[in-house]
This record gives sequence, structure tokens and C-alpha cells, in this order.
Amino acid sequence: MKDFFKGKAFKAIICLFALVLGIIIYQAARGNYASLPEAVVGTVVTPIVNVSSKISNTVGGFFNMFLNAKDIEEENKKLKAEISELYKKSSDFEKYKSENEQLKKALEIKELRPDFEMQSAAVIGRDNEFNFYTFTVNKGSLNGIKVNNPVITNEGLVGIISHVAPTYSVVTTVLSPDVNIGIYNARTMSTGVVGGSADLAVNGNTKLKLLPRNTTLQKGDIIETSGDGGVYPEGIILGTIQTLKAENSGVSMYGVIKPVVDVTEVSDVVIIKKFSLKAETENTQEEEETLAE
Amino acid sequence: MALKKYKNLIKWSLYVALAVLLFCFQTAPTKLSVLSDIQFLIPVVIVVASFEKIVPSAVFALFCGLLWDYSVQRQFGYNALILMLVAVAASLVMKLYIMPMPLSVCSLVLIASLVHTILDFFFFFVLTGLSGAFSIFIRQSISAVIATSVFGIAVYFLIYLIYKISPIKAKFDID
Repeated sequence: MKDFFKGKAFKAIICLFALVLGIIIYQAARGNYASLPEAVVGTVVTPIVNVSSKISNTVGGFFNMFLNAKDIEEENKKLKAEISELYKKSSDFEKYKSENEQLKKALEIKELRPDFEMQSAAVIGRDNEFNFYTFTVNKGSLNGIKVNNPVITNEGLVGIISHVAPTYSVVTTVLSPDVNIGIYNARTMSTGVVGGSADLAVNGNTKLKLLPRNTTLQKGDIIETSGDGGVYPEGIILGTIQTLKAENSGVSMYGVIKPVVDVTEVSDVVIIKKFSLKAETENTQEEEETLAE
Repeated sequence: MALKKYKNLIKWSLYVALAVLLFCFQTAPTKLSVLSDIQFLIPVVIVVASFEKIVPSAVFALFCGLLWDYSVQRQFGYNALILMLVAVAASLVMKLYIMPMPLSVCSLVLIASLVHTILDFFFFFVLTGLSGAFSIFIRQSISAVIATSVFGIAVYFLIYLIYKISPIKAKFDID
């Protein structure tokens, strides 16, 4: 053993250790953007992982059909029950539709968001360690992606870009405690903040924090982004309230939110590179005009 | 001599190819749920370190660690550092104290996976003060450690086949 510490091998190990430590410190100084060593590794590895993710999606889908047959059968029963409930509600649909059309004209709510500048991306890798289901997508700074770009699907919010390299990016999901999202509920006109919690994330849920004890929110309420803070555009659906519970302190409540997007299964996402706070700007102008009068 | 170098090159190329393949398994977006907990790169690093010399094992572990860092949202270089140190320790232990048998290698994989998981838990859950972190450690991390060490047996036989292409003559040389 003493010979090892006196030999060339030990000196070589120390050099390697110093090299890796240098890489770590350099990357820490770069923040959330990839350093040169990481960019090099990413550029070489991303095409390989791209191919392997396509293969694994095909193979995994085939085997999951057999392994998850029981789950699929249960989900089938549940969906059939939901369909029959929807049939009952469909009779009210036309009434709500015409009322909605009138409200849209009155409030000038836009159905589409032409202000979004978007980039589609595919999920090419997942964090194997429990890290709130963080995943990697195959678009990076070369495609104009930046840190803090929101990530969505056609169903709703998935997360936010937390790390960018030239050819890939890392997405932190809505289940992570590192993410704080300003939210809004249209029914009660309540606002709040959603952020992940380790014990809820294990079950695929996230947390609506610091609700007052007399909150009017209830199970089934739809939570969407409020646009406050300017990080997330307003009106992106996040999820639904599953249950409301009291915090350990007893002073406030919190809501368990089931995200509308299953972040563990998502395979294709859209990254919002740019969006405008146009609604806010127009309201501000109207307020200024009113004050002036 | 040329043939020996050629065989050595093939051997290390196969090690690298196996590491890349298992890395792809590790980060695959869709895979069988039974495989989702296994940290595939740790057994590869430990088994290679058990058979090969210290410095090449450390460089190989560094390569595997950098691959792992690409896929996780940790400080880039974090897994490279840990895997390199673990590989050096495993190589020393195998050279000086025990023989590279399946059970001994499997035990080392278990210890390495446990060390990695505990460090992960400490730096990224305990120090950040996340609530519910301990329950995640018990429910998910422990099962991952056990699954990884069991997988180590399969990796042992796979890498032993590759090692036989160009085995090291003096197994107990440290340099």
C-alpha cells in the first residue's frame, strides 16, 4: 500500500483528480450554461442518445403492453366510466359554448397565442437518479433555447429549461422544489404559488403552497399559470387540485396538484423561446388613460 | 508485441462500447420499470477496476462519470469525480486484499452504489433541506442500490469475457 503512494500511479491519480476538480469549478462559474468540456461531451453523446431513445421508445412500448396489461384494463374501465359521464354533460355543452363565444368577444380573449415563439423538441434521456423526473431534450443554444424558457405540451405546462448546452437542454419539471410558478384559478379568481415537494413528487404530484385557511379552492379546480413574474406566460394549464390539507404549522393550507401532463411519460415537448406580456401592457395603457381622464 | 497492443485496444474499445450501451439503457426515456432503478454505470466501473490496472481504470471511470454527468442535473464533473475515486479504491482493494470473484465484486458494487447514493442524498437533499427526502431515500434509493449490486453479477461475467481477450499477466502490479 505504501508503494502505491510513492509510485507514479498515485501521481497520475492526483493529476486526474485536479483536472476533474478544475472542470467542476469551471462549470460552477459558468452557471446554467454548459462549459466547453460539457459541450464537447454533449455534442458527441447526443446523437447516440437520440438513436437509443427512439429504439427504447419502440421496444419499451411493445413490452409495456404485456407487462402493464392489468393497468391498461383498469384504465380502460375508468375511461369508459368517464365517457358515460361526458355523454351526460354533453347536453350542456352547446349552452356553455355559445356563452363562451360571447364572453370571448366581450373580453377579447385570444384562443391562440400568436405571440409565442416556439421550438419543438424530443425527450432523449431521463435522469436515472431521483431528481423530480428531470429529463433531457434534443435542442439547445444552437436552436435559440435559453435558461428559464418554459416547456409545455398541447395539454399544459411541463417545466422549465434549467440547463443549456449547444445541442441539448435539461428540463426541470413542475414537480421540482426548484421551480416556483405563479398560478391562478379562474373559478375563484385566487392566485398562489406552485412548487414541488419531495414527498408529493414521488406520486407525481406537486404542491400549491401557502393557501389561507379560508381558501375557496376545492378539489377539481383547474390551476393555470398567472403570468406573474414574467417567467411563464399566462393561461397555461398546470393541473387540477386533488386535495387540500393543512400545513404542519396549522397556520395555512396547501393543495396537492395533479399535473395535467404526466412528466414521467412525456416524449415530445414544445419550448417557448419568447412570449409577450401583451395583455399586461394593454391593461397598463388603459389604466393610464383612465387616470388621465 | 503488436498483437498484444492490438488485443488491448480491442479490449478497451469493447469496455467503452459496453459503457455507452449501458449508459443508453440508464437514460432511456421509456424502459421496463424493473430496470428504471439500476445505476448501470457503477457495476461497469467497479468490475473493470477489479480486473485492470489502477490508472487505466481511473481514466475509464472518469469517462463513465462524464457520460453520467451529461444526463443528470448535477454539477458537471460530480459523478466523474466520485466514480474515479471509487474505481481507484476498488482497484486497490482487488489488487492488495481480495480476488476478483463474482461475490467480492458484487459486494464492492453494493458498497460503491451505497456510497454514491448517500453522497447524492446528502448533497442534494439534506443540505438543501428538502422535506420528505428521507422517505425517498428509504423507498427508492435503497431499492436502486440492491438492484444495481445484483446487476453487477451479470456485468462481471460480461466483462470477464472481454478481459480474457488480453488479460494482465502480473495482476498485482499497481503501476
